[in-house]
Amino acid sequence: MNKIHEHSKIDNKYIILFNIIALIPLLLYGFYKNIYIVYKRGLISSTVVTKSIFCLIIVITVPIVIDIIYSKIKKEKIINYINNSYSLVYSLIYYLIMPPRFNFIIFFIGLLLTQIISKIQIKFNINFICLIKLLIIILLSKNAIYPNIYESTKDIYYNLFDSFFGRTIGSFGTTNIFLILLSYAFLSLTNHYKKEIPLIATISFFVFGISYYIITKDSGFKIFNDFITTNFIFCVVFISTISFYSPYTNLGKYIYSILLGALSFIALKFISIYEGVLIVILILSIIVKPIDDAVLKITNRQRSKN
Amino acid sequence: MGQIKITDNNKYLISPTLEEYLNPEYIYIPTYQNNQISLKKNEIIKKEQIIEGNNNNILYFSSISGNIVGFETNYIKIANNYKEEIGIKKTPLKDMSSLKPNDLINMLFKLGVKNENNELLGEIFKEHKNPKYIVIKCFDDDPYTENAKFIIKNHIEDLLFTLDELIKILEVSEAIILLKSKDSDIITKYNSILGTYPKIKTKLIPNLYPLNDELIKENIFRIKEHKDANSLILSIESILSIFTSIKKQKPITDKYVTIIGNALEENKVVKVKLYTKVSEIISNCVKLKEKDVIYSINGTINGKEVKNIDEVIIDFNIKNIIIRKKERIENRKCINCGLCYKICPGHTNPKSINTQKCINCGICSYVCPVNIKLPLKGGKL
Repeated sequence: MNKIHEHSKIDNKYIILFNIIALIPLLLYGFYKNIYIVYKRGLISSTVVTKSIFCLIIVITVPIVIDIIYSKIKKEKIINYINNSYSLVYSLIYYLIMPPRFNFIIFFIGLLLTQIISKIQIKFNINFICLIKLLIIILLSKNAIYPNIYESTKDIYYNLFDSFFGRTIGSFGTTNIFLILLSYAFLSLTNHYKKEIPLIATISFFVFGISYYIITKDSGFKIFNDFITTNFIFCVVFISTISFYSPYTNLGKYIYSILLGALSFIALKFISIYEGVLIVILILSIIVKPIDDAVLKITNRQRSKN
Repeated sequence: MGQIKITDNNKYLISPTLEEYLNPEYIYIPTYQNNQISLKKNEIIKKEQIIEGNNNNILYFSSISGNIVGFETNYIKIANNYKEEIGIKKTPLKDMSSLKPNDLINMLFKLGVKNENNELLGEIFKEHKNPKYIVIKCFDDDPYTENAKFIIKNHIEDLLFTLDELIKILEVSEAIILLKSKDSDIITKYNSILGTYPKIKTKLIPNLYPLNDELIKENIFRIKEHKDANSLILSIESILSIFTSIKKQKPITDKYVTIIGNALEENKVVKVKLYTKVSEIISNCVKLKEKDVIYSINGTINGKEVKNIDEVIIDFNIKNIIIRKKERIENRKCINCGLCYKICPGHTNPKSINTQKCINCGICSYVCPVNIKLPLKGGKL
């Protein structure tokens, strides 16, 4: 297609770049917490550090290599294709939600699958990042270890303040709430980011959570704990807002976010604090399209009445 | 949302001097099918002579003097004799303010005066009888076009005079001159002269796109009563046309056109004769720095691509000519970001468009990060 009209400077490349920049602080913190500190304390050898760096190189190069192969298949200019590909964003998210200690082979297969599915997935609106992470956790069974070596050797008590700044057990790069909130503020500066989703999901999470604690008269009122020490915030800020798998109509976004907040609370409480939100996002991604279609039908009907 | 703020105002720097191309070799007056033409080949034509009229009394006046050299499909071709001979000389109207609103409307119809959208001004005045406000847009609809700026620069006193007369004819309580806050040079010029016109006020609005009549009302009137009031919104070009046709008693024969694009050595505003071929203007007024170019007209954001530039003739509705370097852009799969839906001023879904609500502003296509050509008429992604 020939360029006839002016286009906004905020194009796909810009959106991808924004997402990558927002993820970098979390990646660095993940390295600091799970590799650097543990190495400093002499709990891991330099071979393990090298292995971790190799792992990061894999996370960056695999999407680029797959993009190059795919651009050849599609007969497109490589640079154009890479500029418009979300592969690196998906790859980084996939890395950040992995447990700090994982089986490298399974991790690598998962990464490849994430990349391949992101290319071939056309009609099925299913959040494959959540799907693959959950499959890996099932495959690893008890081998998915969330505490890093330092956390598993000592009995550490983290208060809410510690947890807010990332000192808590969790996935590789999802624990630092402070950095996630900064990234959220950064992403919210742009129009493309669906900022309403994390905000409404959080409100819904609290409303539903507080109601739950009041109704069940649960003695351990731990709503802030549920909010901060799980990967809820990371998942709603980065995964639930991936534009392919989230609604675009206003009402659709509200419905989706309310369901996301409420169901996440249930999932965190009764299924798993690490995978609960991912299960909810996976299920909701399937109903995103029907939600948008229904909202459009309703609004069209209302407008034609007016 | 409904509008975007254009921040890259200086993307197309336009030459500060106005170029004139008022001596075309030929002009091409449109004709209507089934309309009997009384003119013959080689017949001498005077400037401002009525050439053609259709059943709806839309008149076409010759913008040059010369002789008919041929009858092409849909056009009468007139060769210029470069003498600018005028048939019947009319004296300017002495007291314009003594006209009654109906006289004004009739005169506008008689001279076939049209606005920049090819709508008869007489029709617009008829629709807005007894307006409470007159709002004058001192900017172009397209954010990168600067015809209005040059019209103001060259005719500011005529424009204010006409507006003052219109206030008296239509008994309007207030006229608002609407300026974009980016046009600081025009604002200064207006403010230095406005003191003598107590009923004319200026208002500034940000550099927003699009700005149709409804969105203008939304932006300038805070109270609902004012928004709903009968406001006559006119462009600065229409005011100039009223001055020429009513005060000077002459038909409109020339027009300002912006020629811009990344294939040009210099972007400029050119004053041209109506019914000149665009290709003739291009070859005489601008230098192309690219060989492989694409032409479009009437909007850098929502314009139409022109396959054969030789077929385009300057009419009232030609505002700009865009000449771009031929560049391919990949049309990718929709990423479901919803920006087009969020921003649409017609409150429609550009991905499965309701044609009745679409205002053809092209803003959906402008914001689309994957360059999908929106709106998608009748289809879904």
